[in-house]
Amino acid sequence: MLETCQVTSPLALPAITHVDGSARPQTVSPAAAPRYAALLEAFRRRTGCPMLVNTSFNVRGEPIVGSPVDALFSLGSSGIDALALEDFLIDREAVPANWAELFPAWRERARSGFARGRSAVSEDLYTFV
Amino acid sequence: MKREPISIWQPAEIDGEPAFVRPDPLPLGDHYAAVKVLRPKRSELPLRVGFFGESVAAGYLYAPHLTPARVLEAQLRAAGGDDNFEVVDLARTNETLASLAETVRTSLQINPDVLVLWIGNNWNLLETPEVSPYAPSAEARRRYAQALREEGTDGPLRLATETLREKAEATLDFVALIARAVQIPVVVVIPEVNLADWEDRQPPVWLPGNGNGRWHDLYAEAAGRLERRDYDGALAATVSMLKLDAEKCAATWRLRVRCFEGLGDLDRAARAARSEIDAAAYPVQAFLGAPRATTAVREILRGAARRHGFSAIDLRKVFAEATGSPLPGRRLFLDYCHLTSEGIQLAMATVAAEVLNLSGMPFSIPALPAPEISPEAEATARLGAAVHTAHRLLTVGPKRPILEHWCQAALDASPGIEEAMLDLIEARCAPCPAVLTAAQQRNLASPYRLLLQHGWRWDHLDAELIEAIEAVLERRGRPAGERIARLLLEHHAVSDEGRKGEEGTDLTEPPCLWEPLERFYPEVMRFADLSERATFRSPWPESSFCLVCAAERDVEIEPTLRLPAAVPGESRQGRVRIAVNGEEVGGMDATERWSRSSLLVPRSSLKPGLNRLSLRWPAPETDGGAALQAAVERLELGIAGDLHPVFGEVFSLVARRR
Repeated sequence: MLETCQVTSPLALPAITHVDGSARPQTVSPAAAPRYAALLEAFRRRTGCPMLVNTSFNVRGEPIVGSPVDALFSLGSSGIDALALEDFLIDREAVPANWAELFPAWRERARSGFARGRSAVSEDLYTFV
Repeated sequence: MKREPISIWQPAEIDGEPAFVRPDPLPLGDHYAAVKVLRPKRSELPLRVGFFGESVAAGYLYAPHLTPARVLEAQLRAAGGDDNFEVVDLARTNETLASLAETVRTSLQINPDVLVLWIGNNWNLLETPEVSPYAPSAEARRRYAQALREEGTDGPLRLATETLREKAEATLDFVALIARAVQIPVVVVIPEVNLADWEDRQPPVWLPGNGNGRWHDLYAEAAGRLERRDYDGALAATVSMLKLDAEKCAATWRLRVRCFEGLGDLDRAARAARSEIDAAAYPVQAFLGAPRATTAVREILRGAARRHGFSAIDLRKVFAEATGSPLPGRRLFLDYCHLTSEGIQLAMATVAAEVLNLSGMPFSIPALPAPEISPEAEATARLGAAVHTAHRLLTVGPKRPILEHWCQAALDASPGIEEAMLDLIEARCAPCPAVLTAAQQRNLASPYRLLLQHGWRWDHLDAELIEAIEAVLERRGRPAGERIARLLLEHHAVSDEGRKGEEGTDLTEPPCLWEPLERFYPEVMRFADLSERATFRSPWPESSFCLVCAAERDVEIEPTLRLPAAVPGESRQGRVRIAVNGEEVGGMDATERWSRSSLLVPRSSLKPGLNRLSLRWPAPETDGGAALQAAVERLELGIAGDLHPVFGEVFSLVARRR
């Protein structure tokens, strides 16, 4: 974030405007980040708005995405419309319909509880002990 | 009276009538019966059997297609009339004593007329997690240390047995109280386990003097003699091993099972197998074991049956009579304790006869119906057995034959499962969780749908399983080797030196551990409350890793390793020998300090696809008594301690193409 400033714009920008009317803009130059700059320009041409919101990539209750696999799990279990992964653009339409159903069961790995007073060891579907 | 949940079935009302409804089963399966709604009884008949138990009772690997409860119900109806019997399945995988008691109590809301309990295989770490050198609680570690200091390894074992007996007897007393209150009979099924085809290879704890080195030398001798079918010679070696390990090491007993089998003495083989099961106790074991009812568990169940007048069905007797062998194996068991469809039929037929007797109703026992199961479901269970065995079995001899048996058996049941096998391999080879792969999507849409219980969620390559599948398919004239090699090479081939962003492949990382089980069990189970280790540690004299390459160039190996000291200030030194596919290709000198070395493996020693790279460690020369004492001192301070030698420790094992 480069600085904090007051928002004055003919556009309605609720997503980036704080309750006190301020925003923390970050500018992008084509020299430093050509792909991001091109994205902004394309977005401006389509919408008239030369801004995008840069927010942390995590869904509620989950840590911040740290790998492509994390990103795919987030895509499958949230309302994200599309995921850009380096040279790949993955549209929600391309995501298997059953991912949303499969992922919670897959990721939920209740662990040990060795001595925590709750059911000991694994709730995994393997009988581990 | 306020209604309570019965297990996961929540109180509800359906059409104005009380009912209990479970959440929909998860798409990849869950622990519980798939029956959606349970209701209180409305009439005297059908007579209702409440069916409780662990994964064996839940039909692990067959559920939801086939469950013991459904088999029992079919048998009861065939013998006693269609309208006279029903079975309510309240069994669940990973059942514990506490939740069993609660489920039995709350099941009274649906008025069972008979309680059938099939329990005991899970009565191990699941019930006594605090009696472990790895228990996170410092207080538990101190208690453990005190028992170890005062009584040696007998101390923690006694502590665990007493704790278990107390818990199990209290639970069974509670069940008896409930049953008496509503005047219904209880049938207890005493488990039998796989004696012939399941093994528990465990290293011994620290032995006095240089006992561990001598024990492993004798182990190698016995294993070699077994391979050459010199059963008497192998047996003689095991006698010396028993003296060293005080008859408390499961691996020694398994070697003896194999000797007696070779000599044709199945009774002694069975006795040795039971000693193996009794010796494999979590308070003193290194590797992850498998749930199998011990002698002590069987005694607790028999004792409760005597005290409370429960009917007791001993599956050991049932299976021995049915097969004519004291050593049950793959005919009746899919793995350590879960039954084949034939095993389920035999077990449930005996339970059905007992329930019919208790019912007081007239009945005739016709030829009981065989379990109804599709060839696809049977094949899927058998492939599940292969996967489960690959993940859970450590053998004293080659592991491949039992894996090939289950793969072959799956194909025999339904040849179409071939595609599921290849999809499984594709998912294993993918550089991401299986659930993200097209292979799993194809499998989910197929009649051979594998669930989580069949091992989808696994971080490792499954080298032995991949090789077993390839071998059985090739034998059936279905060449799969090329496709499998391509899948392996695409994502797992060791990388090139000097290529941008690639510094080689670290073989200590998943998915490259050849046998992930050959670590201390907390490191395999990823306890949330124990921090993960940064290094690979080996409690066995050999550690193996998967090296995948096209074999068209030499491969450089760069291990960073040490021979860890067991007691503070100890020096160790020795040569770590390095083998590829069983042939030694070199070695490196190592000490108790970290060091790095490199070795060139010529392409002539490699084969395209999977190669098994092994580190052969020198035995620690530490006095075992002093090492055990050092472990006691750590535990007394509340720090985790190892009761077993750590032969070697690897920080990284980088492989790169040259």
